[in-house]
Amino acid sequence: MCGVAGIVSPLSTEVVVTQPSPLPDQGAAERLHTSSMGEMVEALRHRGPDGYGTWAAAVGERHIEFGHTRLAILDLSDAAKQPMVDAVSGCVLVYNGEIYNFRELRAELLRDSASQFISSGDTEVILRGYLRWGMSVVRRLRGMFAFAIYDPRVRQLVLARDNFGIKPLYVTEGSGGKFAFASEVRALLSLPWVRRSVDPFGLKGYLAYGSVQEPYTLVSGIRSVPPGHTLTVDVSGDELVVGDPESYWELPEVRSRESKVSVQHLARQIRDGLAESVRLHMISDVPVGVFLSGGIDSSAVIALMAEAAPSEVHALTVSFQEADFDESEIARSVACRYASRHTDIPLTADDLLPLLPEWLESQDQPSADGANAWVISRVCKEAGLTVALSGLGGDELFGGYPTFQRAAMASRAFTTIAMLPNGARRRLAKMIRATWCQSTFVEKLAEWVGSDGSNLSTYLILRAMFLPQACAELLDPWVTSVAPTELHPGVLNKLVKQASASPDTIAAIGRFEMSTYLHNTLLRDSDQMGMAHSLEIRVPFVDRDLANLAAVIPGFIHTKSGPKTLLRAAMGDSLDRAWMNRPKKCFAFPWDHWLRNGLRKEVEPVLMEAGEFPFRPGAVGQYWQRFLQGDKTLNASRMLTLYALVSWIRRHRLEVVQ
Amino acid sequence: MAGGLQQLARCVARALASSAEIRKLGIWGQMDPRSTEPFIERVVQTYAHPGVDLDVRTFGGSRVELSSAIAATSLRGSYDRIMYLLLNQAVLSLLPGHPPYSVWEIGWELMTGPLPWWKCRALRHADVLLSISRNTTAVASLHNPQLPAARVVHLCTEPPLFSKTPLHDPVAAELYDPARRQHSVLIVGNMYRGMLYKGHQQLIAAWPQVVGGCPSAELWIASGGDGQLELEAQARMLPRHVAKKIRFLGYLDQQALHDRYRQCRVFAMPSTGEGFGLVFVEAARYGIPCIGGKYDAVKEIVVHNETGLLVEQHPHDLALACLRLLNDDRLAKRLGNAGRQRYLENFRFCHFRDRLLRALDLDST
Repeated sequence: MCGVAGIVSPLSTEVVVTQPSPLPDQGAAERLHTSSMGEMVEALRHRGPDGYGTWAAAVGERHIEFGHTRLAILDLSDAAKQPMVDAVSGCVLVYNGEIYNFRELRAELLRDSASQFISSGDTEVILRGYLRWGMSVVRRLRGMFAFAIYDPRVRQLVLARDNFGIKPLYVTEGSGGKFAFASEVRALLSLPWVRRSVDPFGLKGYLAYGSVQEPYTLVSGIRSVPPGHTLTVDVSGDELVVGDPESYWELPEVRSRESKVSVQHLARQIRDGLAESVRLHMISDVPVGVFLSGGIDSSAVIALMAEAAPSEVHALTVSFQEADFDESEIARSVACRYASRHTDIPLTADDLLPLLPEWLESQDQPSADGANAWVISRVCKEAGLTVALSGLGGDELFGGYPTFQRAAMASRAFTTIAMLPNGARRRLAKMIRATWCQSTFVEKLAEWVGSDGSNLSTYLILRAMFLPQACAELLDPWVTSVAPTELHPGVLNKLVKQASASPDTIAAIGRFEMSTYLHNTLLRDSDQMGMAHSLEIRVPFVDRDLANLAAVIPGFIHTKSGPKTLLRAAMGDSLDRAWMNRPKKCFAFPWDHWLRNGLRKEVEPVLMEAGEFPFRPGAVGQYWQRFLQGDKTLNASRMLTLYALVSWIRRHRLEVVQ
Repeated sequence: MAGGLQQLARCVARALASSAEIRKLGIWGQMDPRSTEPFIERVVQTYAHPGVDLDVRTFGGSRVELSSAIAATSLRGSYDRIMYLLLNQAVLSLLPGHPPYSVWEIGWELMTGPLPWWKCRALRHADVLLSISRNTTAVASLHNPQLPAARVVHLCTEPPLFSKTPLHDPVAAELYDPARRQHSVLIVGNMYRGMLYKGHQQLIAAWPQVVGGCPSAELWIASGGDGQLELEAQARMLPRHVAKKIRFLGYLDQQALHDRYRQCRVFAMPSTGEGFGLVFVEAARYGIPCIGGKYDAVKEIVVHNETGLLVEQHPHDLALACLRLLNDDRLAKRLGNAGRQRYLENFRFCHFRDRLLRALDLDST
């Protein structure tokens, strides 16, 4: 887990700076990089406090350079330092992530006598794998990764991101043949030629769904490389040619024959797959902990960690005074059985208030959803850990969220509503909005009645943060006219294809959740919040091989006897019924209470003063007042979404370019 | 029928009339006034082979009359096959005794969601389903999985109305010399409120960045619609030195459009919903490098980095693409020339005729 950065620019526009390395462990060798690369590396220091490195070269009329900040987890020696250069081909790699099957790949490469390794970690496996297999190496990698390789033999720069986008990778292009990439938006914002202007598409998607929807970011011109894609930049010709992202992996389609297999057999497969994933995710040369919330997913992870290495399980839990949110009693029971050590940190609004500015500062892109990950990452780091496992991804893969059941119910209900002509449905929707007591439920009900009732439309309404009418009330009309949609056309096409290929509603919702909420909110928050504390968060549920196993099973089997039927069956012999059968609670904070009380003095001035572009004057302040007055259409999540956004825009001084 | 559909109808009629296998060709225009019948006949005659019997009828907007005529045809067996250009009309295929028919996948409704059951049926039961692009048929099938694959027949520029296409297209490639053209980007596309998908707003939003890299660059916006006022308001909100570089030209007649094509340096319409994008064929005919969108049918006309640039419908990407073509004469000329060559090899009437007749399993020689 580290930070990566790279720049391609015309030689004439950059001043090359040679300077001795400031860090003692870099030795006395001079490092060659531009001041721009220096700024980028500095911006990524939190991702890799264990060292940094740069590389640069002139290629024809261009200058190419890489930067890397290191968080040492595998092979802590200097042999694994980056940027890593192959002495024979001249290929250069910068990489952020973990390859969990690196030992297997290394063995395969060693069978080819041309492959010589000088390190014992996973970084060199990627480089040697590229030299052996070209970019098809990505299909062999099991793990989380974002990397870039410069290949001087063909004068191409190739970038790659893992199957699910666990690790971030952002790119930007400037006029006059400039290109840059980095692990975080803030690193790209440090470049003088990147315009600090709001991206209306990123903004619209953020308000619509509570998180920035990839590939957009909040900054115009900065995009992410999609998950499961590679990107090639050709620097061989007179013009810099940035290719389109190319897909190398997708979730497999549901196989109807799996419905003939018994639940017990499928559950055994799932358990074996998850156990293997957990075991692989524990590989580390530094101590590994686990986030324990008391839910089924984190409990399953800790139980399987204990099977793999009983003496090495350090569990960490955050507990609350507010009983509705506190799961620490269950967490303690689970820890008692499986953990070798359990750290339980109580948290109140008074504890969180002084930390709020730090939490916001750590957001590379705004989010209302990452405070829990931030707090527990901090706890982990203070406990001396560098790596922690999380139960994130279990709900998406195994049908855990309420969205699954709600969408299935909606699908059945819409067969009746669909008998009405379109015009009549729209009038009914209007009547619902006007007549019934206003609440988020009624708002969404009206929106759904007026929609086409498809699984995709239903899902997007269920997951919406602010519906189109609210977005129009909040945003300056320029934003809504320039950005007519909330989702990127490529993403929307993918979701429509997933809907079309899914034989049942549950399977479709599972795919939507993995492509949107998991990807744009949970995984991003997990990376941002972990990296804010130089902590690597690993997600054994979000694993290519496990997903290949689970995704082919028809959706209705996953929820046959309630949420996560298969996962419960898989872990039934390891987890008490009492742990598994209690209602799901999200690993969340009591924000509504805190916003009205302890956090109000921090949040209110920010929202009341959010009068300027890109918002309509006074709109945000009005929403805050309505929330305080008990308007049922405005909940804590919506207010936090606005708070995080306004804070972020101010902090980064994004300009108005209409 | 309006604009592009009228042009398609004329090209289809002329192509069918040219086939030696067709002995009788009925050309029935639901919306055309009766007075246009001689005009239609004269246009189609330019390509008709000597043996064909033309039956031109117009119904002045009367669906009842058209339906009665088709019912009568079905009963009498006057025609072996019927071809529908519009999906709305194809529902007449539900009439008893209706002969085999083909239908075109045309219309915004195909691109946006599931079709009503009666339209789906009309498409499913067609003997031959025709589509103006691979993208259209792919998107239609995504939203309506029960639809069969359509046969793709890319469109073409229309021949002169009362004569055949000359062997040498009078619009010569050597006319495009970017170094002698004003720094200008032309967009030609309707601006209807609620259907502003062609990229006007995004181009206007890109203009500050474009002017930053090319101070003399002008954006020329041709055509009209009830959304124009909003676009003009958007342009007025830009800094003055940028706003005055954006010019709304209104509807242009053939000659005025021809003049603009011969003056502009770049053609751009970063649409997200073109069923085909005939306007790009027109621009390529003039040798002008084009900027189109990545996600619709335009990619079947414009080849990225070879005959034009295909970009996201986003102000930043549009600005970069415009600046590349405005500031780099060599690139603009290379793409423009290649686009013109692609037009000459793929998008003239002769190519459309061959594609259509092959799709209908008719002899195209």
